[in-house]
Amino acid sequence: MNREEPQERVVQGTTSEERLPCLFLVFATVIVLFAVAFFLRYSGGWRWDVYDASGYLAGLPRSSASVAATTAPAGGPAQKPSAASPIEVGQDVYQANCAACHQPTGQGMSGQFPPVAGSDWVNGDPRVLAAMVLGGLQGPVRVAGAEYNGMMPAWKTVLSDAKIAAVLTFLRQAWGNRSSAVEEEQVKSVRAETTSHAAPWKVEEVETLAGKSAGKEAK
Amino acid sequence: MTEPKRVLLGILLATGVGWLLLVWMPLRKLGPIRPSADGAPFGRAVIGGKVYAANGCASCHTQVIRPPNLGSDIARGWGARRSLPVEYQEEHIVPLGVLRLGPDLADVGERRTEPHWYYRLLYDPRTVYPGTVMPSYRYLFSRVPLLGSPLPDALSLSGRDAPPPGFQVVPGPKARALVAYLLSLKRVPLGETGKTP
Amino acid sequence: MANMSESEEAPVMTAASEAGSSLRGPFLWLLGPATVWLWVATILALLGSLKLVDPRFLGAWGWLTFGRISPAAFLSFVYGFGVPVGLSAALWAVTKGGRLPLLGRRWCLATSFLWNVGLWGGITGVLAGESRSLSWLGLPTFSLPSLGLAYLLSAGWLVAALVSQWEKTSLASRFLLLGLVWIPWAGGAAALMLHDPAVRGVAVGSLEWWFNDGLLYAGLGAFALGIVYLLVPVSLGRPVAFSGLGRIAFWAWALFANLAGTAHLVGGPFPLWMVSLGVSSRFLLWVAAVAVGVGFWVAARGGAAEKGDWDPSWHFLRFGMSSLLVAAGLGALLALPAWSRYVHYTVLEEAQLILFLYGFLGMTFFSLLYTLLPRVLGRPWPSPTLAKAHFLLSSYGISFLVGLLAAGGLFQGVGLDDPDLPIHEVIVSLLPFLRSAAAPATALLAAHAVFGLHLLWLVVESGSSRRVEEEAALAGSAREGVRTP
Repeated sequence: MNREEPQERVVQGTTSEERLPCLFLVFATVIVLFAVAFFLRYSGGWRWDVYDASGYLAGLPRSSASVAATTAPAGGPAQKPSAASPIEVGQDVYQANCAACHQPTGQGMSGQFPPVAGSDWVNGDPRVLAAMVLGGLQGPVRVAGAEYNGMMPAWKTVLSDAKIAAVLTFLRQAWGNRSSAVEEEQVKSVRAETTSHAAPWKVEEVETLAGKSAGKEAK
Repeated sequence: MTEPKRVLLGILLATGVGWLLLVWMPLRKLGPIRPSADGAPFGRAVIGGKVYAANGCASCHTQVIRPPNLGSDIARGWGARRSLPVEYQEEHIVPLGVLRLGPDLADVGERRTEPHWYYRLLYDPRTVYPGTVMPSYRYLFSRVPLLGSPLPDALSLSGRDAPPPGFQVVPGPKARALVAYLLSLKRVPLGETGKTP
Repeated sequence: MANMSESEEAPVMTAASEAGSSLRGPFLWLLGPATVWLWVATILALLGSLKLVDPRFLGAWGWLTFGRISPAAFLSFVYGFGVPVGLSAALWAVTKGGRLPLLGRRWCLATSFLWNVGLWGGITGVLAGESRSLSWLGLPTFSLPSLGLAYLLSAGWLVAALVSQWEKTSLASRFLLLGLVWIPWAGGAAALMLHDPAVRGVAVGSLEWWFNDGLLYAGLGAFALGIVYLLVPVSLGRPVAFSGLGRIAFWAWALFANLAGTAHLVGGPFPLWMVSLGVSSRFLLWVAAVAVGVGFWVAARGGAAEKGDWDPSWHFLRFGMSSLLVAAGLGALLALPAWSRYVHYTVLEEAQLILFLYGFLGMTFFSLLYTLLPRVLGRPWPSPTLAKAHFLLSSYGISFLVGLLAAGGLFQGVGLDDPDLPIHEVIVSLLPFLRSAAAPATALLAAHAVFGLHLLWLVVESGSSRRVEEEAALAGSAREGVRTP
């Protein structure tokens, strides 16, 4: 490299035109910034269980929105789901994020991942359920008559309140579950209440969040 | 450390980053961390997977269902939801594919369940889809003498394809394995999510 | 070799005839079979193209089914033509003007022999149905030991030579070093992992695409960029401008070429970050390519004016650089999810691949051959007309091939996105494009035939002149000397 420098100076000395073209600098800056912003926006938190590409603003009808998103600062406000029914949004969110463990059928995997279909937790207090999804869950838990001892990751950094509400509504009304829908406001209030709780919940902790209908059947 | 050695080390490090992130970590995190419910695929379907790879089916067919915002795969009924790693976890041949000159096959065993349909397609694709560019895979079939009544697997052929009198066309072992593999491709069972494809 | 000055060029002139006797053998061992592989690749590609015109053509023979000859054509181009030319570039960089030590000559012979034996076995295996259908990792297992050994024999020696002569060299050496190191490292790691039964599931897919883009960008792409840095001083009499920027581009290239492959897996069963990392890396690779391109064109603007006669090397080089910029840009833009919804899995992606392979790698490699062979053989190319014919046929062939596939890919992509249109109809609407692509494929075959004949002519002529008239070689080298006084 030390050989290269004098050579460089000679060449630059003979021709003054060899300055980096302005156009290239603009191009390089724009593309590098775009690449970095793109990755930060769609990194999915480097998580192995986030497949949800619904953040990718793909397709012609939404191309104007995609231009807006690229120029917006990285990590800007998450796109609101379009005006589809919460069940449909929730189904997509479930299949993209939850199905890897709880299985596309909601039946879980025996001994490994508890089922969500027919689970008392899913059909119980929505606040407890929301807290589990937001903060994750670890340690022994009894679901549908079987013991599980695993670790569910937290979703609060990945999914917006609206998406969590949608997926909870979907969970509570799919595969034979017949419980009430969950509103975005409920998730928002649980998120606000539990911001101080960093680690994943333990069953005993999360049960204390239950409202009036608490402890109906969870043991 | 001298400059060339630094460059050499830098090259190895830069290369290693890619290997670590895109090969080693996925193997740890997305690989077969637990035995799947149905166990590993076995028997004829595994051999059929090799036939699928050896004949370059992946040159024109993919085995990936993309999510609804990234393609029309689900709207076309190729699968009920996007593909997930769990559906491939026991497979040694993962033909995700590069080009779609034909339909996606991730879920073809759900759509077509009749082996004879596959035999007919493989033997002469143009009798099933006139004008298609799919090659004929006659070399996977064999012509055998007709002794008494035709074998149950014999193809019912007419016109140009018909074998001479006294002969019948039956799928060879590779064709049988390939069809067993295609029939086993039920990665994303239809109706699993309750959505009509 | 951004810093190569005129004084360094001088030994080539004086030693040309002397170097010829020592370097002639090694280069011909490497490049002769490479030209044969080029023909094999083109003939197989043309056959594949004809099979899309009429799928019944040669249809009864399993060895020539489309799914086997199409990968075989790509594999023989990359491993038969690309890798030996890349090794020749490194060999030229380390032996420039000098003699090859006896050890190096033996290694080159062994490399050439083992490599070609392994590759004949491998391509035959692919045609016979031994492939695992893993794109660039598709060569059958039994060919790998021979190929690996062949590569290591000369790459090890070349790396040692490059490192020991480091002070004389610069960006060209870095890129050549990247190519020399990347291919055995990644190829060995990938081959070993694929034979471990524990490696299964989607990780096989990410392994495949890590290797695919790595081979094209960090392996052969690095060789080709090294050739650009080697040849620009020879063709223009001045180095590629902005060597500081070039160094940044080199490191960006080395790092992101390994990460770009996952862009292909958009929509596939992979975590979001893997796909996003691939897409971002494609964009950064584009910036690196443009950074090299800017230096190239600034150098060209200053140096091209004084050129008198039609220099084939320079025209091939310029076409190669243009193709690189377009292919890298397309590679980045097509990976963007907003587009990939329409263009993923269409022949538009195939068009980008062909532009990179034949347009950038192929044309840059030809540029090296046009510069290198007269110097090594001590005679100028016998017929400028043939060189010009080669250039025109291949540049038009590549442009039309890429254009047809790109236009067809757009039709295919829009059709595939419409769920109400059966896929059968989509493909039928694509067929006119695929069928007319047979014409440019024929032009490419003609171009490569012209090149092969021209090379044969040159070798025969130099062979006779070497013994009979020594002064002809001197005259030839003197003629070369006109370019860089």
